[in-house]
Amino acid sequence: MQTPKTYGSPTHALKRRAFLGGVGGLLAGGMAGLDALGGPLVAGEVKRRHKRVILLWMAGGLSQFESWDPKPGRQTGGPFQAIETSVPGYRMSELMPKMAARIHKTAVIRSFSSPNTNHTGPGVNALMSGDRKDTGNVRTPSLGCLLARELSQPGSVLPDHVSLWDATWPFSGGDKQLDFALFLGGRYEAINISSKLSPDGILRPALLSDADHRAREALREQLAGRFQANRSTNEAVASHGSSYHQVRGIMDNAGLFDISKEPQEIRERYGHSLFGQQALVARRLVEAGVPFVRVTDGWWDSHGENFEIHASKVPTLDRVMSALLEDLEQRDLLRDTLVVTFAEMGRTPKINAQRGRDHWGACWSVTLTGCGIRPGVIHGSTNEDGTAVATDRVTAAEFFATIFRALGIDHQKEYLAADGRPIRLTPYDTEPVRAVLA
Amino acid sequence: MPLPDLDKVKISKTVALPGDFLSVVREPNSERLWLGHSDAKIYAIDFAEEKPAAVAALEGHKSYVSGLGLVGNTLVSVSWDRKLIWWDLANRRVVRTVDAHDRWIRRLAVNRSQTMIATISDDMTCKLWDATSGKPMRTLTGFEAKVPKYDNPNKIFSCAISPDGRHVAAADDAAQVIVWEAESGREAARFEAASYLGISQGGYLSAARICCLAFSPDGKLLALAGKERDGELFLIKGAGLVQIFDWQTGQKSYEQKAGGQFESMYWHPQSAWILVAPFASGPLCFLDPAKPRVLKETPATIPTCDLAVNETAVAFYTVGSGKALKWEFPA
Repeated sequence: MQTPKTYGSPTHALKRRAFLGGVGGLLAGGMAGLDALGGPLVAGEVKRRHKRVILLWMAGGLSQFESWDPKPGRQTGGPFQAIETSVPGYRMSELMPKMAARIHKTAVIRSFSSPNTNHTGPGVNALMSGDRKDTGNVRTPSLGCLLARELSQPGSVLPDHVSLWDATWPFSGGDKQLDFALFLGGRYEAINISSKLSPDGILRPALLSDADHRAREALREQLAGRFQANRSTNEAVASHGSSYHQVRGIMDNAGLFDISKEPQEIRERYGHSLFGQQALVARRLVEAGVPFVRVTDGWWDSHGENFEIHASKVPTLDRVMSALLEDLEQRDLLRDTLVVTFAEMGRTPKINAQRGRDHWGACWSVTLTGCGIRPGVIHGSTNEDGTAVATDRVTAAEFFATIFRALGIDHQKEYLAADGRPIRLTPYDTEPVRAVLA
Repeated sequence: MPLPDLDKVKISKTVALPGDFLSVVREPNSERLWLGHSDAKIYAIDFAEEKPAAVAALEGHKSYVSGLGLVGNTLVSVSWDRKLIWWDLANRRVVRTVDAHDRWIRRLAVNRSQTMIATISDDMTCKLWDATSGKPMRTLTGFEAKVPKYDNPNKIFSCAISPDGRHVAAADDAAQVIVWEAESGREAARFEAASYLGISQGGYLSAARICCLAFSPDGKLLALAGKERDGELFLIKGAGLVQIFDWQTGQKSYEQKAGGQFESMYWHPQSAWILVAPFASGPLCFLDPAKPRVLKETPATIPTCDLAVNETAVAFYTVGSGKALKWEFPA
């Protein structure tokens, strides 16, 4: 068996996804999984103590006009109508009838605003760190990695951060554009699962006996323990150890990724799209205790044929999101699970010559449902044409602070950057959007 | 019918208006056009005037006006608001409004005898209507509700009625073409035009699709125009594609790539040429229906959504983003 070259300099990050691609065979693996925890309804008091987040990421930028903030009849509005919702006075795109019927359980922020209008580079890096200006040249970790750390459970054998993608990220830099743990350590980096439902290499090779498998793991632990003995403060070494630990956890819980264990009725509710199936995997993961799961739906970057793209994709989003929320609610998981919709950006009010909408950061919509959120709040507004925030502008820092507070995390909590400098989760003067907090 | 010199084709008049003209129909023996707009209004333009202008004439729809037809002195319109409206042009009043479909209506077609209207919608039906009374005659089905292999809703972009009025054709987002008998509603033929099947892997969408259909003058052939399978839908780019099928056998007899995404098409009554106009960047093309070749191409100058041709095919009109254009072949 060829082992991956994951060693070398201390700073050679030992990423778990590399292990998942090639080292899985080193480790022993049972198939206990979710079902061994007592079935899906095991989500009782023990699990309820732990907060979790599912981020529904609209890669490329969902149009707010064709979803949460329609402007029918305006020159910027496009062809779709707005429909009544379960919140009196609030209308959504006709493309989202299922969410419209249950929007009284969700908070919608229509006045999110960010300088970012890019898919990659410093702009989106900044957005994912909360568009903060208080850290100078020090880069700070992304939202997903921060939440993975804050919500992680000591001793958990499950990964802290899983990222499911129904399409490949088409730009250089891959997932690192959106998620970066930086000095938090490799433990909080995402395990990326792209265009499928489970990571590669989580099953023990058939030719390797369980006894040999366990013997190899014991040997690795013995060697690693000796190596770590004098390097207790080295982040890379610590990441290495925790990564092996969690790979073992994933292997022992490989069944989490197997949605065939779900009743057919549940699977039908999520639909047959890969996005839907991955959302179901996400529910299984958070139910088992994974603190942060991103489910990415691509590709919304509708520079051409915006309305055709949204006519095709929004109904799927509507189905999947409503199914996920309903499923979480029925399992009594929604009170401890925060479901967020977010993206790099929104889309321009102006409809271009290709019937498209381009990149737009000035005012677009995000949603929060579940843990710590006051349901049915429609916060902020845009003007008649959707060209500017009309009321209650919300910045990325404020949005992130709201997420932290909803989860019971002090958004002013300090942690240490690589150079020992204390940095707060959000800038010192940031206030959460209290209107949407329960 | 004398044939014009294609090399002489040029724009003779232009009318500008912000937004998109999405559909057009011409009153017989005149230069008066009715145009459906993205602002939900129907405009009138009389190109016989020295300085023609777009005049908002009819208001009643609530969304894009995606198709227009004429039945005598009555204008018929369809819209993304799901409605089919008959308008008395003499009095400029609504004669009848019908909640025609459960989802957006993309196009309509009127048969030559002006007795039947066909409408297509993303509810995946093609409905036939009595053109005079407005009563529903038949609902034609056969398309899948979702694009096979994907979970996306299916769509119908185009329809056409054969010159003798006996057959109705429509094509969906999965590149399926169905031809029905208008009288019985029976499915007469079905074939796949796979070159237009554009949805690609995992959540990515392609602009490829069949945008418009036209029967040959003898009704035996069916021309498909749109965009071939190429790349994703971030931008509309790549070649437009015209294919001609013997619709009864499903055999493809013709293929020509040119210009951009063709959204409107006209088959000359003497089969002198097929005119296709692109929405995406690319030229207006006159194609030889006898063999695959471009007879003439000229810059379309606007993303074109629809076109209308006069009785003798010596003048035509293209409409689209921000403009309506009159084209002629001056001697």
